[in-house]
Amino acid sequence: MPENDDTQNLDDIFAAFTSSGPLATPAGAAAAQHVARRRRTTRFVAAGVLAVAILAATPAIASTWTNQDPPVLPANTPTPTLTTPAPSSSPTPSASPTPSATPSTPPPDGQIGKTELGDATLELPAWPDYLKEHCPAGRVKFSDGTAQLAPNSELRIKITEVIHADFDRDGAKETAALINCSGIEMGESRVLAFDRDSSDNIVTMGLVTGHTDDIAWVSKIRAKGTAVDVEVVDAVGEGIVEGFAQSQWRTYSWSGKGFVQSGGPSAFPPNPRVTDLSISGDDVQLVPDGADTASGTLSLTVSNQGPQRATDPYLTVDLPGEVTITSLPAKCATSKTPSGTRYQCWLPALAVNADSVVDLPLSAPKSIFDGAQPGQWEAKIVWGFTGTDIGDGEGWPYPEPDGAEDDNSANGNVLLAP
Amino acid sequence: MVRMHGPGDTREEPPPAVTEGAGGVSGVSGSFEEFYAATFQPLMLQLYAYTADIDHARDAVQEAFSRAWPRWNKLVHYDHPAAWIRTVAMNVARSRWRRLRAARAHARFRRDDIVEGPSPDRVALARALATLPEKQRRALVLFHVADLSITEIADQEGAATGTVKSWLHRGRAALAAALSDPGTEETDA
Repeated sequence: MPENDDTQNLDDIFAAFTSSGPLATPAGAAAAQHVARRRRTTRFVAAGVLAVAILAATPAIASTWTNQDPPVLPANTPTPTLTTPAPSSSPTPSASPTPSATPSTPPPDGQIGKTELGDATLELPAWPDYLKEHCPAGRVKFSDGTAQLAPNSELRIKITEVIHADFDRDGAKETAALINCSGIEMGESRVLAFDRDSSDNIVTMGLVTGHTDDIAWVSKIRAKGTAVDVEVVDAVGEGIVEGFAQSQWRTYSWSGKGFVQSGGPSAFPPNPRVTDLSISGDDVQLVPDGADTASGTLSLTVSNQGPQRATDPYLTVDLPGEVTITSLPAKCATSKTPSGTRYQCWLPALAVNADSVVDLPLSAPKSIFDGAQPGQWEAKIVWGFTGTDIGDGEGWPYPEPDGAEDDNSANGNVLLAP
Repeated sequence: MVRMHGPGDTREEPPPAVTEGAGGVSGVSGSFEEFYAATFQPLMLQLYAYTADIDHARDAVQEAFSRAWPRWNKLVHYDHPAAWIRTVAMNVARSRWRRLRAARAHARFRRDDIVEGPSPDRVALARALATLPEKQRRALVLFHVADLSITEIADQEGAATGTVKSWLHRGRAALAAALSDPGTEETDA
């Protein structure tokens, strides 16, 4: 776009900008594919810790509660005082509630259907900091079960499940809803309880649970007596991989002030698919072994820092140019890459705190070193990997413990000995 | 005609300003890895010119490749799959939150850079571009760095060719001024 003004040399400046060397070392197509595959089955990255925010109970609920006996937790555990069956009681605790003191007015009906809840204005506790820009809180108007900060927001709030139970034992059921705010890969899920006040307005009782401690996602809810059962999923590595995460049902009950866990396990056991593998190795010196070739050994140390036995460690080694491995371990596949050769091998199982050394004999034509920069080897170790590394999208390496992935790859130079 | 979203739009799927051809794949073979190897550095340059930040550019480009991969069977039949990648990468770079998410997702795959940092001339141009209004900066990057024609930019940006010419004209004047301003050239971030 030549112009007759002082902008003319811009063309030269842009030409120089685009014609000099590369700007950065690419992380590689495999890395991009890895992130994509992980997302496809994870969908949600568990990020950050939920700042627990429990809304204060409304005065209406609080005054109702003061008329009641204190809650017995866990709510569904029979207590000795119930040895004498109450007349006309049904087997289901919530089916025929018998308040110990009859309020002067009937308790508000807090049973709110999914459709009504999905078109109501609800008071929502704050979302964690990293979602504050994207997920509305405070008084939020829902429409058709969803709410957004703006029409083009990437994240939106959705009410996915609604159940009813008499949480506060006032003789009328309340409502618990599974609500998430999520986008393509990121989101939070939480369970909130709602009631109606004496003027029939929907009021928020409080947060039942969300992403606290080891809970990375809430997948389902169901009523259980006067409590709510919540199916929660553990955080595996930095995300939830379908089929890799563990799930549990945990029970939460109303204490009069907020919801507390009243049943079910309080923590996840160590995930059997997570262990901390690492790999290391040094530069390789290739020594001339004939007129035209040079050879040497790439020695890789693979370690398992635990806590699980790695049943099927999967090693990927990329070699530059014409450098090849002359004798491969038993189960290996070889493929060409744009810059050289890739070897993918399944190694024998590795016990906790064990390490093994993989010696790979290398050979290369001496000519490749003529005036060239030394090439680099790169190696990566994972386990639980059932597919190929390129293309088919099947198979999935097991995740590392959070923050333990850095040592799963290593690289070094391939040098010609002087 | 597909249109690029405006700067305030943060929807996930930018419609690619490319046409789907039956088999008209030019200069791109079917392999994602080959495509990546052939297009990473040009896209890095375009995104660096657009963001003036090597790390943002790298994360945005890598993120765009990550999003391309699940759609590769379709994208590979586009006339210019790289245009799709560039559009996604620019959208990622433009949203602070997307940048953070991309940085988080791709951080562990970053290589220790064996490439030297950008040359002073490149830094100066990128920083001067960063002082320009968004539309002018985009137009200049697409025209001078991505080597698109005015018609292609107009299609992609959903603007008239006259508008694109105006962006380029004003952008070049502003860029020349910024480059001749010693304060811009020597500013240390």
